[in-house]
Amino acid sequence: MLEGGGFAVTAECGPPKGANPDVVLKKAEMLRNKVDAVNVTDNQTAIVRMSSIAACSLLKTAGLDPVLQMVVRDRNRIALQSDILGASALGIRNVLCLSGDHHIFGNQPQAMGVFDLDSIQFVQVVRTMRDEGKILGGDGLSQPPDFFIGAAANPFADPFDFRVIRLAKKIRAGADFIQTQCIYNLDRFERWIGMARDRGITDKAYILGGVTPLKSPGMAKYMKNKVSGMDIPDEIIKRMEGVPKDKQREEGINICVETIQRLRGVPGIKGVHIMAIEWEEVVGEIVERAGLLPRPVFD
Amino acid sequence: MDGRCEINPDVECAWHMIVDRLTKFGALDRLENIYPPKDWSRKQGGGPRKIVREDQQK
Repeated sequence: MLEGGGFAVTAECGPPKGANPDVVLKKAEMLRNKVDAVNVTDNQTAIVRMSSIAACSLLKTAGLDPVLQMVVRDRNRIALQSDILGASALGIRNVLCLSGDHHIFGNQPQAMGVFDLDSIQFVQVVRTMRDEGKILGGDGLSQPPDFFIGAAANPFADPFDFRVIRLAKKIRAGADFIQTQCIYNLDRFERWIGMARDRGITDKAYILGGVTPLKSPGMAKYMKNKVSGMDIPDEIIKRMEGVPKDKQREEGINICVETIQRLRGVPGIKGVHIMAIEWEEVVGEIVERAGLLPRPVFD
Repeated sequence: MDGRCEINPDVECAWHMIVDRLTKFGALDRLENIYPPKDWSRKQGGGPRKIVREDQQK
């Protein structure tokens, strides 16, 4: 999709806190033909869930194009490289290399945080495996893995000026695409992407803007205050508070659609990544109202 | 966020301090380098450690 020059749409599928494959397959049906690819989170917010590789494999079997999210929080370099080979063998063709939320936030705060590699080193390891057929240390692979490699960027974390440097570094390490943190502060986002354009970075990787529909003013406040690296302007919260309770979800969708429409006009943005957290059923409506349906078909 | 650590707001953000300090030194470009993975072989489960004190050798 991205290489064809179209405006890409991706969504997110959170695996269940359980072993039932039907939960994943049900989400797959909600997203089928609505998006080009589906990210599968890797124990996000450090809460134990079904493994991302397994859920990606289920999606792949159901005919969707999964994006395997992998965090360096839980696996050392042996496990990461091994899982990369396994995922490629299962036909998974996209990987998003992440640090991972610190385990203190999840339901296993006593866990050992691994962080053997950092996310940038991990991107580089996957690129070397793919392009040179070598693992860390130089041993050769009988067959290299085949991946479109992604990384995350947060335009809203501090210090602001450093954000673009870090983005450039991830792309230099080998990221083919970038998915950003949820965007609510479009002015700040446009300043960030402007800085990236000035450095010529937006030509070197496909950048997808992240969006998350809000369900309530409470969710907005929670994200603003409790989720690290989130920037939700007060106008957004006021807008959510300004509608009756039964209209709040609709208002959240409105904001999300407007954000996507504005992002479509931002030079350097090649698509959107819709993270509807445990609200996958709304993705189709958002994509449709943003004027992005039907999705083009590729072989 | 705002210069505080996301794990514990009582602590300053180490990365924020690093970036501020390197900016002050005019050396922020050092962070543009991609550093190789760390060698952990001498840490924790690396087994018994051995130090050769060359000054003690005959």
